[in-house]
Amino acid sequence: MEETILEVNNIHKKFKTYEAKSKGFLASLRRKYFWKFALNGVSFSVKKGEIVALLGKNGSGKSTLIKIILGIIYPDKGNVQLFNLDSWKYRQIISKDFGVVLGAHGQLYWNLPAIDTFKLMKSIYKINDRDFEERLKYFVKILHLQQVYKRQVRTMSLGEQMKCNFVASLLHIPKIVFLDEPTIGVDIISKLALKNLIREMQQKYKTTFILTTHIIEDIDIADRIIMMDRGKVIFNNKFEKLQYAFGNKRIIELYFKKPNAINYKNYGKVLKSDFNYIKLEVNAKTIKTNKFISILSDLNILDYKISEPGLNEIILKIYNKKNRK
Amino acid sequence: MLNLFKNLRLYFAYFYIGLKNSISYKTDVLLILIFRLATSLIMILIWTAIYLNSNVQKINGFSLSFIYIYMFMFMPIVTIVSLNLYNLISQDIKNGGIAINMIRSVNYSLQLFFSSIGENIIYVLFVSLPLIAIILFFVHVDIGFISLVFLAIEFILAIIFFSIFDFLIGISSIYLVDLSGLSQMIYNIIYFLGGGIIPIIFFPTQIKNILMLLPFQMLGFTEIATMLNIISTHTILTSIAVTIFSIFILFIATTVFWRKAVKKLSSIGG
Repeated sequence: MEETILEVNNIHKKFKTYEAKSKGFLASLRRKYFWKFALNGVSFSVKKGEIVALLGKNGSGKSTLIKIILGIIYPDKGNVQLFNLDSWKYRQIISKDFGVVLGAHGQLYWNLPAIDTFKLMKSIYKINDRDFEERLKYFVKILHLQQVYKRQVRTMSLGEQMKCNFVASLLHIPKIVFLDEPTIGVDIISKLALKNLIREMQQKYKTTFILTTHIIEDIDIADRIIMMDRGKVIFNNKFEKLQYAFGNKRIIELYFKKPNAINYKNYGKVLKSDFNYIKLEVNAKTIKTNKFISILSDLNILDYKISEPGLNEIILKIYNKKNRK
Repeated sequence: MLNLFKNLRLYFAYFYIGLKNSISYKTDVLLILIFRLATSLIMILIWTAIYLNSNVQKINGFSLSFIYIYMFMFMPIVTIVSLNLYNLISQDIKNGGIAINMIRSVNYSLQLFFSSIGENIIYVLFVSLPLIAIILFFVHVDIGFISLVFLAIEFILAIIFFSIFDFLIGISSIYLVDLSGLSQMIYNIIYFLGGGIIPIIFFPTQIKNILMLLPFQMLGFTEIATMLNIISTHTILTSIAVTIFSIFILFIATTVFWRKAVKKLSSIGG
């Protein structure tokens, strides 16, 4: 049984904000103030070595939650225990053991080569020369930064900057890494390199990763998914469970040699039909697969196709279900 | 304080990165220098007009040439003692960069202070100190050892005082968001109180006595007065004591305010 590294207990946070009361020039003068509830009783825990994806729409409270976990923002209610210490009170002590990549806020010095920021990290985290050289070599190789890291940051592409931000955050081999929207502006090849790095670090150092994103393709790396909506956790389970709980629909397409007289409505919703073709939406939980296959085996089937709903579809379904409630 | 000495190597790294950063902004450095010299020049033109229209050789016992020397020395000294930290902090709070700085196991105010010293050192070494040296050479002022010690103390205290003051103003942007109006007002007042527009010695005795009891004199007046030997040792010691006391009070106020304000930090969500 792995130890719990992070414990988030009943976090509440609200911000005072305003909206314009009128249009045009006067809009900035006439304001209607109100409280925006960013987090509404969020609780969960994370075990050592886990990769957890915090998924949610824009404004669902993910980034606020990460900043509260990091001890940057003070919660109105609740507390966060990181390495069994209150993250707000002991931020400076525990910050030695965490790494952070905030997608919107890079930590590289814009006008200097990335290596200068890496050297600053070496001083901050008191990394010895040998370890620094070894780790730098390792990260540079895995992220393909050989031709990049000695270049001025402002001349780098967004993806290159992001990869260098990863290096700056990981050089001290933190126990837990927070990645807040880490793939903003990153191309598919760089994304793969970053995912490889995350997996390698998880295996090599037992590093825990908490990844926040609104990009669904990014979560396939996660062991567990925590979905947030309107400041609340609406799903917290393994990726497979997500598929099982909400992805029960299957689309079956069949091509026959000749037409048949079977009433397909008994098995599911007929989406499309032709004299030798049928497209059905079936419920994988209710339909008896064996029975269905035995019926089909009596038919002269030329070809078939069974497709599962995509991740996007599942996520949308969860949000819609919660919103209806 | 113990923490500062323990991590001196780390803060030197911040100093070094600040220095490298400022070197890479060559055009910016040049423009700031021109702007600062132009400010001195404007003050000189105003004072020339005052002297020429008043039909007197001396005002309060000081000639126009004293004003020239004073005004040319003032801006280089402001450059040494004022790091403009409030601007960096305000920007950090507004754009959310403070998050990155706060998650490092380094004191936020000290990392800012040392990187700003690093950025400022170029101006100090290549503009302020040569300019002051040239002026002193032409004025034929003989600065004794005691005055040099006083000057060193004054500069160190002034840098500490204005940095803490900047920090206090900077963190108020957690509440006010935009500081441009407030900071402009405050720093113009300080510039006036510190003798940047009218040398403190020109004021009537009562006002002068009040201004000499404020730490803002360290913005430039006390340093120039020490170099030009126009104030007594007693006055210098009083100024030093006033500044030390102010640093103490300001430090406590800023620490309390920071602890309270940081809980309000909210504009960095995304």
